[in-house]
Amino acid sequence: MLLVTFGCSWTRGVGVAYKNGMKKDEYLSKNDDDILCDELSFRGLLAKKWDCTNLNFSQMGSSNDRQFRKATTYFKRKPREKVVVLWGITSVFRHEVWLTKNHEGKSGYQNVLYGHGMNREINKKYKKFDVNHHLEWHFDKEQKLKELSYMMRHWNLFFEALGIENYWFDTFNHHEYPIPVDRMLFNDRKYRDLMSILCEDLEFENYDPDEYHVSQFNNDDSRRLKFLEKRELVNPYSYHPTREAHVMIANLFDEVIKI
Amino acid sequence: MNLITLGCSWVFGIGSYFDAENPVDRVTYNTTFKKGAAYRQSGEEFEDDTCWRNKLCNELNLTNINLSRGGSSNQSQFRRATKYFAENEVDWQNTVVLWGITSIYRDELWFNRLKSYSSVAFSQANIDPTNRLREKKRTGFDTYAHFEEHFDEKVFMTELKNNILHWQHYLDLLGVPYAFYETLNTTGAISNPALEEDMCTTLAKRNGWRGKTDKFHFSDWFDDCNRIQRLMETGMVNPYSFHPTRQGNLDIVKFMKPIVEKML
Repeated sequence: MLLVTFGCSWTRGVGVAYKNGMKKDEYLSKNDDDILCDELSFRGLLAKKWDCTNLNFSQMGSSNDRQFRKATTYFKRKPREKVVVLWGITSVFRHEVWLTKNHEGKSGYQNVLYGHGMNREINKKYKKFDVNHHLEWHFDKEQKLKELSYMMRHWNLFFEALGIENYWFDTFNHHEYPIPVDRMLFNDRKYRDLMSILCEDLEFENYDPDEYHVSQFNNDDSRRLKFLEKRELVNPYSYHPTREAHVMIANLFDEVIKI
Repeated sequence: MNLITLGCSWVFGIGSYFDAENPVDRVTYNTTFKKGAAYRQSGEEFEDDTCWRNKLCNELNLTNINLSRGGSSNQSQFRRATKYFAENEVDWQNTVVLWGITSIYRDELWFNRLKSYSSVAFSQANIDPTNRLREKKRTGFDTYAHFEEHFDEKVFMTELKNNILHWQHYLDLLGVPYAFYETLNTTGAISNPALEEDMCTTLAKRNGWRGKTDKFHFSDWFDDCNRIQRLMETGMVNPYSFHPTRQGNLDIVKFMKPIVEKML
């Protein structure tokens, strides 16, 4: 069996390198380490438990756009073995752009993250992307959610036709999708995103839909995150789930997906 | 049986109301164009049978579900298809798809001011700094800067090819017959095109164009290549926006009809 994963830093496993008392510099030097992420993230734990290979497309800072692009490129034929796709929807305050020349003269795809209007200078300097202009002229959250739900429906039908078992999950925000989307995990929960579920299971139910977390190394936007930080389930530097939190998340998936 | 059509102005039918045998002046053409785009999209007054897709549907007794739009980009077409299939219960067993791939020198963006998506074209006019300033003030977008900073022909072409393959794979899995063809230029974006050469070149060759190579046609109301020059001389495109005339549309029906018949 093959477990194919899509998502952002939470799926990638950024944060599992953190150990209590670790200095910031040390943490940042290994927070995106391939071996640690592949082994200790919930996807790594699930692959071990389900005795399968994990093909991972998730990445730190990934936008939903990037995930759709990666899937379009990868799924080109009917698979010969059983394939399970686990796909994490991330912040809608991100998208992917092609950059013809960055500050070092290199070209490539870049994800621009502009949640709460943050990262203005970095985006302008390194990605030639104007956050203020984009938010004022070209960004509409409701529209983004609408587009997302269309895409998810499209991929549901495509995976079904391919004979692939696929599941969606909201990563750190409960999204109100304007049209129902099948194969969404944790729909029976009041708030279905992983961060809210971690909180709810610890009896912290202070979810406020206005507190949209954007996961840009900042905890100002969410009381849920501050709560998890106190419980040492996210680290105090990048605010990503610790290895203990990943064990909890892996168990959540294992409970609802019957392999 | 339904025929779903996707594409740009050449599929939508911009200019099909221009009769080369009874031509109107530029002002009248522009007025009709402005009215026509809005009406055609709502399927009202101007939804006539002068454009080839409607003519074809009438001849073959098909219902046309038209997702094409004037000036649209390929990205816009992929988005429109995704939206349509997500929002509607499609009768896949009674549907065929005809998909015209347009210029890659276009993109699409959401505009808060319009509360809709709009396609943007990297046209010659955008290089003019005065035009650029005017456009930025009006739409909040500098097309030229965007293409300079975020466009790469090779990358866009790879992405386009991947998207075409994805949609073909999708339609194959659903058992839906389809025909993809290039509309304005032959670029090799489609591995199995329904037309050997793009629609514009095919039409030009049928009307006496004998060239082997030509400049890229952007279809942004400029007479920018020899094929268009020839088509204008023969009354197949109009002299204002350079889109197929009533006569041009009739000729397009002739070579598109066998393609659609093959799918039925």
